Amino acid sequence: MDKPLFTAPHICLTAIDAKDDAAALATWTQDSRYIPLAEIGKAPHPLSELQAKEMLEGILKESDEKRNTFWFAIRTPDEKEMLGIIGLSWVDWANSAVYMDLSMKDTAEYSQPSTREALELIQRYVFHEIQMHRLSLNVPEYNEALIEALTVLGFEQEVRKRETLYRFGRRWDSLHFGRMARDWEKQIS
Amino acid sequence: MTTDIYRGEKLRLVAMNSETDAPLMNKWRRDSEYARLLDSDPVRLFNTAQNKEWIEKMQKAEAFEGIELIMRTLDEDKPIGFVALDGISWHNGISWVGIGIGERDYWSKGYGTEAMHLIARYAFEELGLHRLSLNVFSYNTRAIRAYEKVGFKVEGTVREAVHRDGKRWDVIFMGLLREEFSM
Repeated sequence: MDKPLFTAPHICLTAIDAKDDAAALATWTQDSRYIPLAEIGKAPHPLSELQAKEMLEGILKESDEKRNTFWFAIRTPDEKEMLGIIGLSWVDWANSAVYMDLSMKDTAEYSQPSTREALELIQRYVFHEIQMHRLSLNVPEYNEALIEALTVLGFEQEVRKRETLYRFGRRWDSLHFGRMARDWEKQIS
Repeated sequence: MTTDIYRGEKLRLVAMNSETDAPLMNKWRRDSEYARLLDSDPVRLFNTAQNKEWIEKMQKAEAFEGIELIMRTLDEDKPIGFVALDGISWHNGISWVGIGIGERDYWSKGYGTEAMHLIARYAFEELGLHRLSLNVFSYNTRAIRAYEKVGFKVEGTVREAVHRDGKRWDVIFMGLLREEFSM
């Protein structure tokens, strides 16, 4: 029988609604420790609700037009609270390779089951729904909880891009994690 | 102040000219071996008008997030390829760098190494950047050797990220920090 793609014990994945979700995203960014989507690429700063709405509209518009990005909201099972955003920021169809991106509502959330379950669901989506060969994710070295979660799930560090990020008054490495379809298949079988 | 940093011993870097360089880029790209080394996207062909529009759009952009320069030989003033900074992130002090030599007669003669050296010097001395990044297909050993000569270090391998000719190839990531680069 089909395993559900969008539900897990502690979370569900749903579409993002730029209008309804802007307030939550704006609230997250008022804490300087918030880790935004790497995809955005801009210097972190607090977002107004209007700016948050425009940011979400931007990624949804690109997703509609280019058909090589996919975004989901990570929510509590009752869908009352958004816990994070997860997505595929670049599906390289010709090479069956995909980059994912993840931003949880605060730093504590990366240690919660929500993060692990979102990573499990996105792997199923990547390997069984769109049939990719490999999955990549760049993580700042200061996001230790996410690195721990990825390592437990079997992601392997492939590249250490030295001193790529400037945040919190110093330079940090960015770690490129990779997951091969064959390794995931082995693990779930 | 006394050195023209756009000029090396064999070549110089000049601004792209949308009139004369657009047809040239068109011609270079029809060499599919060249075009396939540039990136992992399926190779596409662009007509001269499309290339011209691309160059002009880039040159008119308000935010300075990248630059494409043409390599011209010093002895004949011949355009042989391009070198580019792309995706400059000012708050992080980093940029991607790319290069292509469209004229095959100039492969493996040190032009690529010198052009990479010139663009790195521009990135560090003029733009004040901290780091340059690039990636290269594992089978492009000629390019990897040139990048290492400039000072780039291998930082890891993304496994089987390119699928071509029925095979999967690794992509090597390389980085160069300002303090590792000798101007």
